[in-house]
Amino acid sequence: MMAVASALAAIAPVLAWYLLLRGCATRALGPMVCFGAAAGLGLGTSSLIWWTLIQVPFPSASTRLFVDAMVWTTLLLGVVVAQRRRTTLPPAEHTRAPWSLSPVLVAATLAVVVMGGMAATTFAATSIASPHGSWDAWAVWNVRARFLFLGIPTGWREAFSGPPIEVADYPMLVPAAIARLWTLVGFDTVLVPIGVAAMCAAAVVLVVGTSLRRHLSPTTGLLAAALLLASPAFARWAPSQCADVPLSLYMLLTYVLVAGGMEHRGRSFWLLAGLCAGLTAWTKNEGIVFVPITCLVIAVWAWHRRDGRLWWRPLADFALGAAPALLVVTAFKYSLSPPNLIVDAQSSAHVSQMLTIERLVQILTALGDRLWFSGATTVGILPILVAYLVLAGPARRPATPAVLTLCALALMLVAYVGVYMLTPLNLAWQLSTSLERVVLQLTPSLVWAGMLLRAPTVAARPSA
Amino acid sequence: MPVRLSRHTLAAGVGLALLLLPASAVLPMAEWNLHIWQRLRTANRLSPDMGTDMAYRDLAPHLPARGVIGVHEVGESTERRLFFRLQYALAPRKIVVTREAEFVIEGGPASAPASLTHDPQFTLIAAPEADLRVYRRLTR
Repeated sequence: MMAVASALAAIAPVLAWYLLLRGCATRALGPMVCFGAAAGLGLGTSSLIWWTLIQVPFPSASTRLFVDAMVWTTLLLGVVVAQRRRTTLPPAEHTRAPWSLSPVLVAATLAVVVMGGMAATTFAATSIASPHGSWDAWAVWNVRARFLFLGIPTGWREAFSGPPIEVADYPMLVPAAIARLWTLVGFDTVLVPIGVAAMCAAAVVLVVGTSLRRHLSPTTGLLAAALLLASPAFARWAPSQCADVPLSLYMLLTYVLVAGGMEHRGRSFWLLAGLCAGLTAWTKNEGIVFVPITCLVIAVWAWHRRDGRLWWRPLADFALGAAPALLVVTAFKYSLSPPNLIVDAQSSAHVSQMLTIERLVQILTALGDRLWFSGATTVGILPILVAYLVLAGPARRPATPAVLTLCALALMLVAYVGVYMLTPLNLAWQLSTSLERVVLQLTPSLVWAGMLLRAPTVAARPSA
Repeated sequence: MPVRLSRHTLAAGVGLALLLLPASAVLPMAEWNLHIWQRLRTANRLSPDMGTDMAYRDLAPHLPARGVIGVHEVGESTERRLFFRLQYALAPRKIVVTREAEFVIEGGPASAPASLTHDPQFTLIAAPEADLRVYRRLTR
């Protein structure tokens, strides 16, 4: 009975989000995108709530679990009741060309099956050989999950106080989500972080493939999915239990939902996109850069469009959606987190020492290498994507979400270059240990937006 | 009748063919990890990862439930790996690279000149492995 209750409590966040997404205007995204989004949103919001509950000195762990269960039960019931009352919107019309069983569709399907099989085999074998994940998994992410799980009610705070454990300033989405699931299970089984890693990796591929299938064609969706699955960097880091693949999922969901907001004009898209963007900041410090960059790009788009008095509403809704997660991140950074190593090292003397042409050339060379290879030995998936686009030809007027996403990703790369320029750590070491993962964070969004360049601009539908 | 390929069909075909190149780099990863998996199955052993974590967690009964635990490395092995693995295994205790704590975990050979074995301020309370010992400070 307890096992059943724990299992239900574990999946309640994902279930609640799936029902919500399927029921409101975002039904237009399609069931598979909704499922991928629900997985990410369920993981992220359950982490936010669990982290908040940990701050409260409950008399026992059971009380905390009970409150968590009540929160999700209430949300789930609220979603069900709200959907029964709401007038359902008709599914969005997608002007897709009818598809037939062509040789290239068969080949693409086969590619996904084969690449997916290889990726799944690699994932399983890596998880068995290294069940605690890569170095960063047990040194950075899962160690803090253990503090949150084993250090209740107050012992976990020692991770952040004099002297704090290594990289204690990193945000807590993954550790808090894992600690919550461990608490539900009753012990810190390796199956939980492995399962979280698998769910995030699968959600990334699912969202990219099925979103493009709706925007373009089944062949394009399958090709995009095959691209990701064939990436050695993705195969290497998916089972690592680090936070880079979850971060890539939230970045991707942000852009997919922004695209939904541009096409369907529903406020819920912008709110959810903002929530996903806020969750990037709760996942890794890179998200703290991602949120303002995405806000900037949306602001430029909204200003350029300027239709009606409320032209600023998409940006306002985006910011509103991001607010809960950003509040939690701000409270964490202000009250618990030690100073970030890179930020703390900055001074005018340090900056003037770091801003050299040699460092810039070193960084750009390494970045070009990772963008070309993505872990491969001859050519990686991004040049293949470019080759495909050159041969297939982009649309005469590419879809605005694709252009907006690519602009945002370009700004993210500029920001990353800036961070590497200013890092106080050994640059060669930092590039060799982190750059492949940093590029991987952006790769699913790059593949999605690149493919979407072939979709013609869709006129925005009247808002509901 | 000649078959006309659309641009998209041609592009998709080329793209799928080119995917074999990066995918070929995924194969060695899969093969290596499958090889490790098979060796572990044949030897009926846990992964080294699991074994290390369990061994370090077995130190917990000799240590206080909370507080700072020192780590001290002698010999040639890397302190940073031992430090991080101990922190992971012994959370929510806090591991610090120091000899000044009441409890200190030492890695490396006991015969090394810098070993706490030769330090009268410490007494050995556990030695679960040849190169892993737990000491307690006698005087402060």
